[in-house]
Amino acid sequence: MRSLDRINDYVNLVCRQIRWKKAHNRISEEMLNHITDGRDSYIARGLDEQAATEKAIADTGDAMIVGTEFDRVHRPKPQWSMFAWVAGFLLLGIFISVLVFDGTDISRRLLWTAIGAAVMLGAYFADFTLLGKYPKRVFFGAALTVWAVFFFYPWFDIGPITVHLPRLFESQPLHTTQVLALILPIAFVPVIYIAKNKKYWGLISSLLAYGLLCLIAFSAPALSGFVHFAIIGMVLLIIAVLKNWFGVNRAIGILLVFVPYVIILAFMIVVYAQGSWIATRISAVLNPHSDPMGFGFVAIQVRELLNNAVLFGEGAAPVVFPQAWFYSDFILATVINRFGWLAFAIFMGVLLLFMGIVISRCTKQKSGLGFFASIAIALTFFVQIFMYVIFNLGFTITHISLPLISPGNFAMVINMGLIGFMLSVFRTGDAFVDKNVIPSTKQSDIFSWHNGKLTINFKMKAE
Amino acid sequence: MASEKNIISGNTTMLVLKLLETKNMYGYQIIEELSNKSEDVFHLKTGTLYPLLHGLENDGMVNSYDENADNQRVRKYYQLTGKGKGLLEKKQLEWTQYTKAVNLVLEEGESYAFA
Repeated sequence: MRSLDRINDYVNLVCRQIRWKKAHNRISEEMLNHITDGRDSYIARGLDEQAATEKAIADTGDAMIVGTEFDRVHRPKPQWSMFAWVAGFLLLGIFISVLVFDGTDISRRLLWTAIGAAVMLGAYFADFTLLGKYPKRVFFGAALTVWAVFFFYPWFDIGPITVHLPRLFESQPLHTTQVLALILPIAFVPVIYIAKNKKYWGLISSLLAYGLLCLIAFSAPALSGFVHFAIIGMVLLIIAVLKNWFGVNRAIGILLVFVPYVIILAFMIVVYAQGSWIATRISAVLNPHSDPMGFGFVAIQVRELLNNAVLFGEGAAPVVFPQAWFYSDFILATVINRFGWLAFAIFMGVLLLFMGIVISRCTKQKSGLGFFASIAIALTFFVQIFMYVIFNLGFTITHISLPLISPGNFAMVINMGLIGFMLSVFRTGDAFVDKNVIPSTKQSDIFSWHNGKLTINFKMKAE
Repeated sequence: MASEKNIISGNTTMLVLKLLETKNMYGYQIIEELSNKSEDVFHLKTGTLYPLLHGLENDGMVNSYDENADNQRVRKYYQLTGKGKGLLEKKQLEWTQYTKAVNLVLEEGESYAFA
């Protein structure tokens, strides 16, 4: 039997004792390298290849015992504490709904929470490495789906037939479609992942993908999705450059990340600033009284609500809006007015603690894919929270939702699905090293690019 | 010798961490270094070392990284973390207390033997 076959047989027997299959790749590679080193050492001392192989394997130990030892060490990590946090925030949202808003829409909220929990559980057991194995399909699939919904909403024509999208999309059109932008950060991760060590071309291709997703997000019915992704995408690129992910000079890399961002910003200011609704909205945010019956109306009411709040206890409540509107968009402002600024401070303290724990777990990921996937989802939450808090403090720029707490049926499901996926990374991320996740290349492609080589396949079979 | 090797099995963690304190090493190198430094007294089996290293990595005591070897293979190197240094100091203290206690008993035994 060939030496390598003998070693592989041994390593396979070791891995058969390890129940968690996802850990096999890492363990088998390391064991293979070690036993081969041992074999080569014995050969250098004068033994023949077969004897050297058997001696190196004997030095390793009984395969069953070794495998059992590995099995004790390599287990997925259940994320009970994170589930507890999620449950806590969900209960807080229900508590606020009952106590502050008299149980408005509680049955609908409970239904969508249950749907969200099911989606979260499904995502928890999903294989996050699919992001790395099928990067182009994930990226283009998500981008096309989001664009199609934004573009064709709420109906589209196929020849003489007009197809109305299901009631799901028609009931709360603005909020339902814009929350789809929440999946854009995770869809962006595969692009960054496959750009590893590809120097400036890797960075530029990532920037192009970022620009494409920004354009798609900008085509949404509301601005919030664009603002949300624009911030997160840039942060992900900056992190990648600082981690030397692309293998470029850090200063030049940061400059390259910022330059298109500044250009886009300047373009928006120059083209749209003259009498456009964006300019009016920004002015109203900075000075609500400049447009008191338009964009400034909401900001004025919210700021008056906050001005009447006290440190502890209930303040005066000049509620102008219908309760339903406040229930979804101004939960924090209402809570501040009802329970005082101290309650808000405690809430923010708890949120910051949660954010710290999540960031800590993201940074402990051993693989780049695990790190970027988890940090992208973490940023998806934190930017939502930041935008919602700013919105509720009277700077009514834009927002999506307060994840897990504010009502928002489709937003609840998407947020909980993303949480489940992030917990999947925390649960299984230890078993992966980046080189274990190699993008899948179709055999039938005429052109294929792999490891820096362009291959032209003239023997492609007709499909 | 057999009884001394039983003692080492309970302190393998300490010896591995001590080796990593001096420099980052890959698995085969750890086994070779341990054998050389102990003058061939300690021969750590591969099947003992790697589960130990992986367990230490899960607990944050060591980190690992890949590096290309001369023979085109990729070697996984291990390095000690700050948390690992703390564990090493704790283990060394326990060992010092243990050996002191053993020596005290042995000295007592000698004095009784020659009394």
